[in-house]
Amino acid sequence: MSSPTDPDFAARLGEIPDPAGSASPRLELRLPSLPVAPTRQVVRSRRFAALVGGLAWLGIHLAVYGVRTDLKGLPFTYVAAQIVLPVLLATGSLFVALGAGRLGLGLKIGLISTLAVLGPASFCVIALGAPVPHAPEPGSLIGTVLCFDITVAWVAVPLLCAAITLRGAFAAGARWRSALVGAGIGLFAGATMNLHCPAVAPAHMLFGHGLAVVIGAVLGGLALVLRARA
Amino acid sequence: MTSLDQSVPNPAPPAERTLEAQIEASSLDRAMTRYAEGHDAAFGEIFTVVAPRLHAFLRRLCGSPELAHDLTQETFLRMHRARGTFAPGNAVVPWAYAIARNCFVSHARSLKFRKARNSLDIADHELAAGLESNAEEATAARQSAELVERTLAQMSVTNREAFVLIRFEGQSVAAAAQILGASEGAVKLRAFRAYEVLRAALKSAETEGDSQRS
Repeated sequence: MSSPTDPDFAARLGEIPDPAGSASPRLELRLPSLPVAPTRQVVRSRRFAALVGGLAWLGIHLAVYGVRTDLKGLPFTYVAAQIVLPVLLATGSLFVALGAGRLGLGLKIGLISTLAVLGPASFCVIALGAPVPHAPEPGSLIGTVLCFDITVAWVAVPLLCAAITLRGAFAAGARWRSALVGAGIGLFAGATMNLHCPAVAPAHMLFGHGLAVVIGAVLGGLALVLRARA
Repeated sequence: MTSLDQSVPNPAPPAERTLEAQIEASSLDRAMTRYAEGHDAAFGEIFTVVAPRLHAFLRRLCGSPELAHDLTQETFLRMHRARGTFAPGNAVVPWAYAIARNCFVSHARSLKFRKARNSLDIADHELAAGLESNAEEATAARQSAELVERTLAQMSVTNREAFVLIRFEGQSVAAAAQILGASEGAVKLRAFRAYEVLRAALKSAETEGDSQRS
């Protein structure tokens, strides 16, 4: 089925009569009493606190667990692909998800959905496909599960902060925008884990570090949206 | 073009809005900005202007004035809760439409709505069957409007909301796409699908009426 071009479109639709007519009823507000709702200033402060809290959560854990010992010996391209790129994607994801757009209803949904899929996907593809800088250590299932557990915990707390502070934030495109927030948080957590864990085996990188990024995006699209939709 | 088409004026496109309407919209947006900053008194101003538009929008989506009234109230409650997230300097009406649409979608998904919808359909059919009027044109127009309402109710929510926003609420394809959280191409296609279904229903009713008269 093909649709007509823009100039004809509104005129064509005008052929259909309006069942509601032009009469607009006189409405009265029947709400008993409006609950206390946060003002813009409060919302901004809470978001800033959530951002700082989320970054502090990751930063403190990284400081406690320590930065990987082989960081100085890693090739620049490896560091750029495994750490710098996810951080850039995460920052971009959060900016795009929270961007007001032309009408205050968010940026274009195509951009948001593409980024929500491509961010975690690129992390996983790089984890699996990037050339390893040195011979991988023998595979350990426990080590992979441990990394996965820690990365999921690193995703969970900032996601909870987002759920608290983004209540009713997305009037339109809520599912994709929430998924993008989840993806952004996941990418930050994944990059932090890549900065901590010295393992380079592709399977470990994918399941230990990358899977939590995907889970972040999925949780955003399925759970965060329930709070974030206005 | 049928007599009905001539009797129903097309909505003015956004570009042809009067200066008065633009001033009203700008004052409304300023009121919303004040309200988002914590000036509770601005709520009344917003409600007075936006509520009738939201009611009409929801009435077209759900087909029931009573339900539309309830959903309008719920929309304002959600707008109040989310006031701090309203992006400053933007228009309040598209934002309110998006929230109203969310209210309708969550209501449409509930079992309660499905039950109400069934009883509403029966009521509509009874009303259509019992129509009697001396003025033939007025009757034809009313029957067509009811046919449009029934056909809208039977089509998918995604097609219906796209059509209603563009045809009846005077939103551009780009604005409707933003409100619905979909791409412009998808919204245009959905509205066009709805238009084709409605046009076919009206044509078939017209042919039926002609054959009955002859």
